[in-house]
Amino acid sequence: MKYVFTLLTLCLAALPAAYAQTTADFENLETGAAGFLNGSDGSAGFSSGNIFLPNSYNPMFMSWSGWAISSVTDTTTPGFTNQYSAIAGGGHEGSDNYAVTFASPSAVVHLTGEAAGAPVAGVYVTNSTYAYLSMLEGDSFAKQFGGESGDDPDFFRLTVKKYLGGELSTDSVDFFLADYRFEDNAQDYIIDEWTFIDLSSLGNADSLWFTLASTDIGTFGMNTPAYFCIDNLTTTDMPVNTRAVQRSEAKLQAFPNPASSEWHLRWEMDQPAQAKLWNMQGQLLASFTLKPGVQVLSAAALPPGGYLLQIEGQGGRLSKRLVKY
Amino acid sequence: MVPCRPLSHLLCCCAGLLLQLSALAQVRTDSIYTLPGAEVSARPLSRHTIGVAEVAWDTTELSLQAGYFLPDLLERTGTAYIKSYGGGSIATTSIRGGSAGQTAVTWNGLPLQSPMLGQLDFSLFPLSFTDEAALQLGSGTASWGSGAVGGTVVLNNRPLAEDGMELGLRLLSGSFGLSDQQARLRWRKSGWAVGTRLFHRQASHDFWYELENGEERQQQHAAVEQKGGLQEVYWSPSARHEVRLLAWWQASGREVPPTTVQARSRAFQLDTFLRTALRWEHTASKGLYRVQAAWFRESIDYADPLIALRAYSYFKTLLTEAEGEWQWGRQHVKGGLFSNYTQAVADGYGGARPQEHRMAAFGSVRRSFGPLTAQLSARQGISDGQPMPFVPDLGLEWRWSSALSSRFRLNRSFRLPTLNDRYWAPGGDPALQPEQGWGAELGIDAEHSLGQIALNGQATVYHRRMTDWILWSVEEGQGFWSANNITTVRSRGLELQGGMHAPLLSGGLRLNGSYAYSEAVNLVALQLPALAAGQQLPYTPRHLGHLSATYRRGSLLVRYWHRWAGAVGSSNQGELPGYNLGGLHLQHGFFRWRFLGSAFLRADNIWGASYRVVERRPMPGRAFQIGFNFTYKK
Repeated sequence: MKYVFTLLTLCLAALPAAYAQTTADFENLETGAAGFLNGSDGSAGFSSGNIFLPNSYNPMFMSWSGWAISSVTDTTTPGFTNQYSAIAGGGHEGSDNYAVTFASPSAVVHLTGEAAGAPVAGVYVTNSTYAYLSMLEGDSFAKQFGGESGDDPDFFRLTVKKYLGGELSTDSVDFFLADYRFEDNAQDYIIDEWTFIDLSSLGNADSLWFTLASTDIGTFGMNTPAYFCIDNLTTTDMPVNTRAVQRSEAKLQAFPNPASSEWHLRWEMDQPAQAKLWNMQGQLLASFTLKPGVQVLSAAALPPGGYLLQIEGQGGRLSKRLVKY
Repeated sequence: MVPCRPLSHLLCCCAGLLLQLSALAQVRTDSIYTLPGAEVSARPLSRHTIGVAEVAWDTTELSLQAGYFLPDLLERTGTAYIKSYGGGSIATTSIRGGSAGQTAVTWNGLPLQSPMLGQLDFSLFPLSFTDEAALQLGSGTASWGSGAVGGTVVLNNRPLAEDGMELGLRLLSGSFGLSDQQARLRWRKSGWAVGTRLFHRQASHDFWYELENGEERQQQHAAVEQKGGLQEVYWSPSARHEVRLLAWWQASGREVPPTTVQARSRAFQLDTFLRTALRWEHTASKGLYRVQAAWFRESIDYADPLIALRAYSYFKTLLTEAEGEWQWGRQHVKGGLFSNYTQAVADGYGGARPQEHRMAAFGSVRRSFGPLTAQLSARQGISDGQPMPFVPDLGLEWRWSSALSSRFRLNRSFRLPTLNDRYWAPGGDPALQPEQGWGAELGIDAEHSLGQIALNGQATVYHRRMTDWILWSVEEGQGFWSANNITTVRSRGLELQGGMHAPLLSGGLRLNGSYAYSEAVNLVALQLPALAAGQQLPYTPRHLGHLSATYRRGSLLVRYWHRWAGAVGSSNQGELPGYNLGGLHLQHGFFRWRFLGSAFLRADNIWGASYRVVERRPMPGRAFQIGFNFTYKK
């Protein structure tokens, strides 16, 4: 486990003072011989720095959604058989690991620990090899950007929003992973290097919400492969007096976890608190009052996968990962 | 307009050759020959249902389509919409607003739709391997079972009609590297009949096509090579018994071309199958009994070295059927049992080898009441222990006069989910319900003569509503596509057909025309796939028209056909514009001693239309073919 903690001295415009920052670079995760982690070990997600990347793996279908961690360096093989690869050929600045997501329709990054409820400085992004080569050359489903003439004003856009207090922000940050809208086709581009996106304008956040849009869209949704990669996501470690307190998870016990039909939640506080259950796409599934003692949270209607239970009370905030199998 | 680049010299050669043959025939017009028993067969096809609108092709018409495949026949005779991905590529149908899986295809009474995909790639069926072909429009579920919703293509083989021997050879060459060779040997004597048919075909399909901005590009990586053989053995130990054994093997290797917005493709697909059938038929004084068993093994080997993908799948199926027909006075009664056991293997099944066992009982009663003939049919089956929908089918025909009749049908139809729908991982659902619905149609048929001019016409209106329509969709909170009984589709339309035959310049002129209006709308608003309520289904044209003119004089035949398809919605944004296609066929026959032969020249898309049937899939421009038929009969 290797965390990279970076203490920055610069002042962020959105913040009243200088705070410590933590960079999630995923180097603490071992990708093994396969070169990727797709949740097949039942981890339901990946933690690095002060973020948690949810993952859902279906052992019956051997499929995954959410996030995967990768160190794959193959930048020449097109198609979904090379779905874990970043076109940059590795992590940011030559590091080994990075994260890749299948953002269909969206992907969420949860902020944890001291970063929960605090601003996010930014993240490095690049195209997956699958999406990059699909846009560059086309494939049997998706078009070569520019179309038959090369003049189609195509684009592949990443939009980032935040969740705070259970609400999705209207403010967003857009970043074009490919842009063919220029009059001069020579200026058309597809991102093939790690590129920094400043997310400080989003302000305080509990989680980040990512979605992709493409001009190549049809009856069955977006034809461009809905993949992109991130690395070095930098969060702000905000002082206690400027944000909600992150409670100790010891105050909340959930068992069994993973569960097949229900979780028993033991709330070891004297006062009730508001609880919210989120799925990995950032959708609010349930909102209820958590009373002192033990109560049951049904999982029967939920598809297998990872979930986030978020508790908010007078004393601060607590997040706990729940897994349904 | 897409120019034809290579074949102007070939056209000249062909024209010259035809002139020579024509001259040969003219020299011999004062001689008398006995033609060696040319077979023109159009016998009623088995399981003809009262009230059904049917288009049938006899052997003469099929021989004119030599070297073509099943989509060519349906397209050039204007009866069905063919969704073709390009020369030699996959071709499926939409009939009466149905999906590709709602067209049934039977070969000697046996269903050919893949149990994995629920449909048949029509481009794999060479017309030289069939002797009778018909298209029955509308539901045929009571007769043919699952999938016969929009229509049923009925294909049959039969032995040589009389004792003797027939040796045939067909050679065809044409644009885009087309080379086609067919051979057949048929023999019949002392209750035995044997037939062997072989074919080999290859084409590069490297045609030029026009891009949206007017530039031209040559199709790449589109070569096709197909070869196959059909062995038939018929044994009639007495006039009342016939045993037949059929074995059909075929391999079709196809390069998968890139789309118009794809820089390159290296994908390759090999379709291989072996279909065998054994049938015993007994004709009694008042009845007919038939028992048959068939075993099919069909595989698809798809490889794309660019993306390091290899996908091999296959299925094996055992079909058995026993049926009987009896005639008691004015009643014709039929009944039978059908069983189908299938096992399939595919990477997409996640290591499982799904099996499926279907059984069905079917029957019908037909009786005439003066000018009215009525038929009531029914079918009930079970699939893996679960009952299939009960299918009643009522057909009525009222003959007003010798030249005028009307017909009516009311029936139920269904299509069972495919093995992919049920077991593909992720997304398959073993608990899927069959698509099912009711349909009705009303038609009128008329014939009339004005001196030597014969006229005929047919008009049909139909209405069908299918519920539990299966689509692959993304459900709320679900990150993958899955098969769901998600929508309802209403199909209704009007079909008009007309024909005329008249003597002209010592020959005969036949005109045929047809028009079909098909409305097939989705009735449930869907998010993914994005289909609005009331939206016409993609790749289902509202308008389809066809016109052909054939002139025969002696052994000379000239035909022009024209086809018009209206605009269709595509899978992506926008709609594909409609298109007009024209084709020309010149043929001249000759006979000498025991040899019967003909030479023909065909031109497809003679107006050089630049069109697409499927978005991003170019279609060939003007193309020529020259061919020769040689038959030796003894």
